[in-house]
Amino acid sequence: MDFNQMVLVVFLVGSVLIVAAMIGVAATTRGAPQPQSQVQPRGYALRARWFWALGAATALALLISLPFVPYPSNAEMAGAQHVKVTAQQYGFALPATIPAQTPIIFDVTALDVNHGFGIYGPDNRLIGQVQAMPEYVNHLPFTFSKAGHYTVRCLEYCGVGHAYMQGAFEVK
Amino acid sequence: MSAVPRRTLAVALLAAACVVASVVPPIESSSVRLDVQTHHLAHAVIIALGLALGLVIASARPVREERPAWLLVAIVSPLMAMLLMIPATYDFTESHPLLHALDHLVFAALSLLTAYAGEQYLRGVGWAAAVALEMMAVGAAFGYGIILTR
Amino acid sequence: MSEPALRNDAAASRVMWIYMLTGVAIFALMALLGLTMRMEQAKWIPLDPTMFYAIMTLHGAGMITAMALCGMGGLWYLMNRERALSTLVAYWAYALVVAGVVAVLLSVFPGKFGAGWTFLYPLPFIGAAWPSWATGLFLLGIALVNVGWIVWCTQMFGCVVATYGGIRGALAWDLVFHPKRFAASGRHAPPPQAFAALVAAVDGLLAGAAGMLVGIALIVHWLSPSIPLDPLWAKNLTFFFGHTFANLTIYMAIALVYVGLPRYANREWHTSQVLAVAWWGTLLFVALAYFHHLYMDFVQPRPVQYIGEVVSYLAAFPPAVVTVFGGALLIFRSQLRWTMGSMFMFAGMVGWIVGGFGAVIDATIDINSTLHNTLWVPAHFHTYLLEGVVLFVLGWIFHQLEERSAAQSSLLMRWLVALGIFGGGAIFLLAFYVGGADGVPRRYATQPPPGPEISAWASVGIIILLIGFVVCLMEAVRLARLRRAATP
Repeated sequence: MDFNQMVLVVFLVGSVLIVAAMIGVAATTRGAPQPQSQVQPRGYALRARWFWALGAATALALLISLPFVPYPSNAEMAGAQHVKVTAQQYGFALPATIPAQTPIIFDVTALDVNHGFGIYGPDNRLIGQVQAMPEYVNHLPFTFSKAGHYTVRCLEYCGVGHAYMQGAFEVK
Repeated sequence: MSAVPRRTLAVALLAAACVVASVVPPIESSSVRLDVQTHHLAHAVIIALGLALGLVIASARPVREERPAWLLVAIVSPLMAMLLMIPATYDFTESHPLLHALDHLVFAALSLLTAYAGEQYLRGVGWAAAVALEMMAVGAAFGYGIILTR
Repeated sequence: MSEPALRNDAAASRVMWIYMLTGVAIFALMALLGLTMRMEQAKWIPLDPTMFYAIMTLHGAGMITAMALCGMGGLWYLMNRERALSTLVAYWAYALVVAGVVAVLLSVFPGKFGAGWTFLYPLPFIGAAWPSWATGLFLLGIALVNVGWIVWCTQMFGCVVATYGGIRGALAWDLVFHPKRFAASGRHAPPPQAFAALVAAVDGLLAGAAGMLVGIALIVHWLSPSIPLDPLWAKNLTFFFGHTFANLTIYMAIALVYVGLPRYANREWHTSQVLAVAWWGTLLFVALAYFHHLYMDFVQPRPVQYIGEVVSYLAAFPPAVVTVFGGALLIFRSQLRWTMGSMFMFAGMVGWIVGGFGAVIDATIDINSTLHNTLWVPAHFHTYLLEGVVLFVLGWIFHQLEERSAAQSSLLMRWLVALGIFGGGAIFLLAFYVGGADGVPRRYATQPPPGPEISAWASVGIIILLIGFVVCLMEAVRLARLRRAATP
C-alpha cells in the first residue's frame, strides 16, 4: 500500500466513524426524550473534552507534517544537480535520462500558460509535483531511489490539449 | 474646541492634502518617470486621502435607514476609480502634467464619493467601501501592468 | 409552530423564493452537465475536448453561483426578520448575478469559452480554442456576478452593523469579554444566523474586492494585450476570490440550519460566548485559508504556505466543535420530528464534516504533493457542496413547504429520497476519492487508467443521485400544491 492509499484508508475509516457517530445521535430521538436544560450541561462538558482532544490531534498532525514540506532549502539548492524543465502547450522539454540516487533539483518553468509538472513513477503512481508557471521558476527537489521509466503529466489545466500533455524520462 | 469646528478643520486639511497630492507631483516633477508600481502606490495615497475626506464629511450626519440610491454610487465609484487606473496610460499622462493632475483629481473625487456615498447609504458602509477600494488600489501595485518575478 | 417573525411579509418571501428557485434551477442544469462530463470520461459518450472543457468551465462557475444564490436569498430572508431590508437592493443584486450568469452561459454556448472557472492568467488569452469575444463575455459575466455579490454583501454589512451596534456589537464582543455588564445592560446578543451574515459580508467584501481587481486587470488586458499582469499575483487574487466565495456558501447556508433545526427539535439554538468566538475564528480562517491552493507554487513566500496549512486545520474547529457539535447536541434526546426538512439539514451537517475531513487532509502540504489537482480535490468539495450546502438548502425549502402546508412526507418517500441522494451520492463521491488516491488528474477529458473505469462508477452514482433529486422535486411540488390549497 503506498502513501496515498494509506491516506484514503484513514479518510474512509474517519468518515465511517463520523457517520456512525451522527447516526448514533440521530437514533437518540427514538428514545425517551430529555429536556434541553438537562442535556446541555453534559453536552458542554463533552464539548470541552472534544475541543482539547481535537486540539491535541491537530497540534500533533501539524508537528508531524510541517517538517516534510517539499520546498528546497538553500543547502539543497546548492548541493543538487539542477535539471531544467520547460512546459509549453502541450508538452515538456526535459532531459531523457536522470541519474538515480542523486539529489536533483528540477528548475521548472513555462513559456505560455500555467502548467503542472507531475511525476508518475514506473508503477504509474503520482510521486511528486510542482507548478510550471510563466515568468517564474519553481525548484522541486527530488532523489530517485528506483531506476525505471517515469512519466510526466500536466497537473494544471492548460487548455484543450491538457489531458494529452505528457513527457517522460528514464532514471538510470 | 467643539466637534463641529474640529470636523471643519479636518475637512479643510484633508481637502488641501488631497489637492496638493493630486496636483503638485505631476506638475512639479513632470520630468520624473515613475515605475508602474510606484505610480500605482502614489494613486493609492491620493485615494486614501479622498476616502478619509469622504468619511469625515459624511460623519456630520449619520444615516440610520437604508437609502438604496446611494448604494449604487458607493459601488459604481470605486469601480470607475479602478477602471481609470490603466497602467498603459501612465507614460502618456506623465508627459502631460495638467491632464495628469486632472486624472489625479478624478481619483480623489471618486474616492471621496465612494466613502461618502457608502455612509449616506447606511452608517458604517462607507468604511467598508473605503477599505475595499484602498485594498484594490494598493493590491494593483503588485502585479497589474508589472511583473515581479521572484 | 408559526413564523416567530412578523416582519417577513409576502414581499420578503418572494425575494427568498426567487433567489432559491433560481439557484436550484441552475444547480439542476449544472448537475446534468456534471453527469455529461463523467459519462464522457467513462467513454460512454463521445464529446469534443473543446466542448468538454467549455462544459467544465460552466459547471464550475455555475454551481458556485447557484449555491451562492440560494445562500444569499436564504440569509437575506433570515436577516430581514432582524431588520427590515430594502427589497430593491436585493433585486439589484439578483439582477446583476443573473445578468452575469446569462453572459457566462453565452460565452460557453455558443462561445465555447473553456479556460476553467479559475480563468488563470494568461490561459484565457493564449492558445484559446474559442473566439476572443467569448473571453471578454466570460470575464464580464464573472464581473457582473461579483458586483451583484458585492451589492448583497454591502447590504448585509450595513444590516448587521446598524442592527447590533457597530462591528463590536455584531461580533458580540461585550458578551464575550464583559458578560456581566452585557447581561445587566439588557441587550441581546445577535442570533447565530447574524454571525453568518457578518462573516459572509466581511469576508465576501474582501474577496469581492480581490475578484474585482483581478477581473478589471483581465478585462483591461483583454482590451489592451500589451499590459502585462504578474501570473503569480493573478493566481493569488483569483484563488482568494474563488475560494472565499465558494467557502462562504457553506457558512451562508448553515444559517438556515440554525433557524430551521431548532423548530423541528422544539429546542433553542441561542448565541453563547463559545458560538461567538467560533465565528470570530471562521471570520479569520475563511480569509486566510486560500493559501492552500498555492502550495505547489514553490515561489510563494514560505510563511504563507505554513499559514495556509495551520489556518486550514484551524478552520475545522468552528464547525467540528461548535456548529455541528451544537447541532448534534440540539437533537440529542430531543423529540425531533423526522421529516424531509430535518433529514436534509441533519445529513448536510454530516456531509460538511466528512468533506471538511477530506479537505484538511489535502490541506497538509506534504500530502498535497501527491493529491493536488487529482480527483481528490473535486472529491472533497463535492462532498460538502453536494452533501452539505445543497442539503441545507433543500432542508430549508422543505421546512418552508412543510410548515405552510402542515403536511409531511411519508416514511417510504423519505427512504426513497435518502437512498437516492445519500446512496447515489456516496458512490459518486467515493469514485472521486479513489481516483484521487490513485493519482488520476482532475480536469482531464481523457483520463489515464484507472480513470475511465472509476468514471463509470461515478456516472452510475450520479444517475441514482439524480433519480433521488427528481423524486424529491416531485414531493416538493406535491407539498407546494398543498400549501397553496391551505392558504386562503
